Order: sequence, then structure tokens, then C-alpha cells
Amino acid sequence: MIIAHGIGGRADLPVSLLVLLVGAVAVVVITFVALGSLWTRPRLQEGPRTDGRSWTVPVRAGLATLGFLGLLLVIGQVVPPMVGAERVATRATIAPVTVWVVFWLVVPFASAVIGNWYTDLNPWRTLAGAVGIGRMERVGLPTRFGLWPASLLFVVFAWFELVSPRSGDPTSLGAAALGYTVLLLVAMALVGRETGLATFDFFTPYNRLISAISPLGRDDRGRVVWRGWLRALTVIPERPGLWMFAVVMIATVSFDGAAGADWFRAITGTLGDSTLGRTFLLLAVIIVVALAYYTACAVAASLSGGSWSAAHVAQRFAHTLVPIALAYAVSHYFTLVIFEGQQLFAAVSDPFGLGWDLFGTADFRVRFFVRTSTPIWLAQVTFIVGGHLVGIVLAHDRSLQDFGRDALRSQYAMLVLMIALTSLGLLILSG
Amino acid sequence: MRNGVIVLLLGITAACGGDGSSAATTALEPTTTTTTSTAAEPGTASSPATTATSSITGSVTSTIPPVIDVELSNGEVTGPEVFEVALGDRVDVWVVSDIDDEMHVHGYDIFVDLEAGVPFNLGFVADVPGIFAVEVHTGDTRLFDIEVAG
Repeated sequence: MIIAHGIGGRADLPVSLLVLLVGAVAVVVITFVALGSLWTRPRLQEGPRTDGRSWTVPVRAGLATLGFLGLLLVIGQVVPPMVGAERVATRATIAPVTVWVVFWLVVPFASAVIGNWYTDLNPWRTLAGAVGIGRMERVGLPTRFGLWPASLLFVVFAWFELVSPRSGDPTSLGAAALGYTVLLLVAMALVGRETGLATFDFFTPYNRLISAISPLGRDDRGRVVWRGWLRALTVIPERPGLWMFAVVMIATVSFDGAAGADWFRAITGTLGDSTLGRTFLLLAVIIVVALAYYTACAVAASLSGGSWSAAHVAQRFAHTLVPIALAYAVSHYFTLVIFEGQQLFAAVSDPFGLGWDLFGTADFRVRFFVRTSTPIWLAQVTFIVGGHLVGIVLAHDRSLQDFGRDALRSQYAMLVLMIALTSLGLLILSG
Repeated sequence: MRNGVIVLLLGITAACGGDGSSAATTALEPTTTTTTSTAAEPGTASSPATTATSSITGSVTSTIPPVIDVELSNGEVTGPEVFEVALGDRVDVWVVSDIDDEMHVHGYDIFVDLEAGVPFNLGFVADVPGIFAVEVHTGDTRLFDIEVAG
């Protein structure tokens, strides 16, 4: 058996039955309240509502430097083996915590609250700017691709983390980061910087979608504005494949959670023991979630009178999956962030795991400051239930907008889907 | 490589009463007990008294052979996939490998050197809840999980 995850090796205990039942009851009650007479007209559909105030937050250069430094440190992991330097077995390099915790979890989680700063942090934009690639934007073909290439790369990345046996190996991470950098540079050179990043750098749509939850936006001069919670989410451009990107966001973390659950292992048997088997399971989970969502959209389309296609509904409601995807990820990974994230403190002193101690922190060990499981369970269930609530509200609001007074009827399928997704999230938590 | 030195980093609350290991307890952080003991040579009962209840007992040759819980042979693991222990209780697992290897308890960050054919007693107080993977360095093979409930 091979350790999943590029980092860690600690997993949360299955949520206790009592906490689970409280969460499940909360789902039902909250759903009925949310869909009751409280919410009879669309409230979020007109998009950001700014009050004219804006603040300058001069962190652009700092973030760009940090992002670029992070990329260099990850790619730099390919160097020690080339020069024959031997890593110290008890020292983790900075690569896994940088990629799998900071870049993959902390940045998107933070962007849900403080808005999208990834545009400044993005090391590939910085790199392209420094070497002067991609000044000419070509929007034709890449725009038609929409989010399909990003969805595919997202799956590859998730596969690397959750399935590949090499995800924790710094040299492999460095090589992968180098390959990704080359891919993006070529893409930006061919189709332009912004078009290339929007199409092929899946972190760009990932952070953009999640940050649309945040009440803080940026105006065209980069100044911070207050726009209100969730308001940017309702005006997310419906680029081709948007729904698949949202599905992939949910399905990859579902796979990760389910892979550790007893019931999933009972169903899948020995498939989970081999890399090929786990690859198959990852794809299977994506397909199941995609089919569930698309079916719900098809039913909603037919209930609404048949004037809309399932594909259109799938795009119109894709944004409602974003809070659920975030909730799944936060629920599953916040202990990884607060515990394994501490590795960064040690790793800055010995970024290549060669026995250095630059800042005297190299021997710092993770402090498990939460010493009982109950607070972790409560937080996990709260995230899942909260994500569901926000998803329901968004779907309800959108259907009021699109279907008018027949909203409730058209929404039965979405409601079933949302409750199914929440149940899946809770089921995964309960192991 | 840390030649035969077993360094234990255990966040111990239950078992860090003052004993002979106090010289090392000031290291790193207040809640951590650091116990350093020399590794066992085959044929010598070497576990120092200072490791007492708070730490790895080291490999011990006694007249009664221990019951091996987990055996690693040709990269294949034989034994339970999960050992369950209540929060605050002591983990007590005997491990033997057919090759020299390094064993790592994730989370608790215990690193020990296994010697080929010499049974090793993994013993420590489990004071952090969660599921923790125990693996060996060679091939990143997972030996088992320790599930600390509480």
C-alpha cells in the first residue's frame, strides 16, 4: 500500500455518529428555512454592488516575489540529486508543504475571504513579464476551449497528489513544476499572457471561482473594493466547461475523502491498492459526480418547460457548486493546513532537506494543538452543512431569476442533488 | 544518516514526569520530550532506563521471543492494517523487517532504525488523536496505521 497525499500521513478520525446526525438534521432544517417564504425574489443576481469606496493595498511586489521564490524553491529540488547531494531522511524539504499546503490549499482558502490575490502571486505571470513573453493576446481558439483544458490539468494535478506514489518526493515535484512552467510559458508565448493563463493555468480559474465568494473585489486599477458576499459568483463568465471544472473541484476531494473511508474500501476492494486501480477510481468518482450533476440539470430543464437544454442549465447553475467544493476541501484539509502547514516553519531553514539550519528553526516539529477530536468533527460538519446552505441559496436565487415563480418546481432536481452531495460529504467524513 | 541513534520526538503529556531523560527535555519546545537512546546492538539488552514508559523501548533480545505483530519481508507486509489505541494509552507493537530500514511514525514523527531480523518494539504514549501512518523508508511502504481515538 502506498501513502496517499504528497504530505502528512496523519488523517482525521471518522466523525462520530452523534455529530453526524446533528449535521444531517441541520441540513434538512436549514434547507427548508432557506427555501421558505424568506427568499421569494432574486437577491444576488445583479452581481457586485460596490459603494464607491476603495483601498490601496500595496502588496503586489511582495506577493510576486513570494510566488516566484516559491516556484524557484520547488523547481530547485531537482538540483541536489544532480550534484550528488544526499538528503537527510528526517528532514522534509520545502517542496511538498509549498505545493500541497500553501499553493493548493492556503491560497484558495484565503481567497474565499480576502479576494483573489493569486493574480499577483502567480509566478508564471511574473516570469512571463520578466522575460517579455505573451504580449499579444489571441482570444480565438483558447476562448472556445474555455475551461476544458484547465479541467483536464486539474485532474492531472489531483492525480499527482492523490494517486501517484511520487507525490511526496521533492525531486518529482520539482520536475513536475518545471514541466508545468515550460507548458505555461509555451502557452503564453503562443496565445498571450492572460489568455494562456486563463486557459491552461488551472490555478487561475480555481482561485478566481473560489475568490468570487469573497466580499472583497478589485477594481480595474487593482484597488480593493467591497462588493458583498457571493455577488461575484453570480456573474462568473459561463465559459465552456465551467460546469465540468466545478464538478472536478468537488469530485477530486470526494475521491480523497472516500479513499480513506471503510465503506469505500469495502466496495472497491483491491482496486485501491494499485496506482492503476486508484487512477480508475479517481476517474470513476469524477464521472459519477458529473453524471449526477448533469442529470439533475436535465431534470431541471425538463421541469422548467423544456425551453432550455440540459447543457444550458448545467452552465447556469455551475457556480452553485463552488461553495460546496470549497466546503468539501476546507472540511477535509483544514487539519492538514493547521498541522502540516507548520512544516513550512522548519522547511524555510532547510528548504532542500540537506541538513541546513538557516534560521535556527530546522528542528521545529508540528504541534498538534487540538488534542481532542470533537472540535475537529464539529468544524468539519459545519463546513459541509454551511457549504450546502450557500449552494442551495445560490441555486434558489438563480432559479428565481431564470424560472420566475415556477422556481421551486424547477429546483426539485437541484435540491435532490444538493442534499445528495451533502450526504456524500457527511458519509465521507463518517468513514 | 544517524548512525544507530534513535531520536524520539513525542508530544507527551501523560508520561513526561521527571526522570533520567530530563537533560534532553528542554529541547525544541515545552511540550516535547526528547529522549535519545543508543540503538540496540543485536544480542544486547540495551534499552536504557531513561526511555522508561515515555518512549521506544528499543530492540530487546530476551529469553522469551516476542510475538511479532507486523513482519516486513521482501517488501510484503504481514499483519493488521490498523492498530487502535485510546487517547493517552500506550502503543505497543512488535515489528521485524528482513532488511535494515528506517521506520517513520507520521505525525508523532518518530524515526527508528530497524535492523534486519531484529524484532523492534514500537512503544509510545499516544497523546494526539487521529490516524497516523507508519511506513518504512525503502519503497515508502506503509506498514500499518495507528488509530488514536479520543
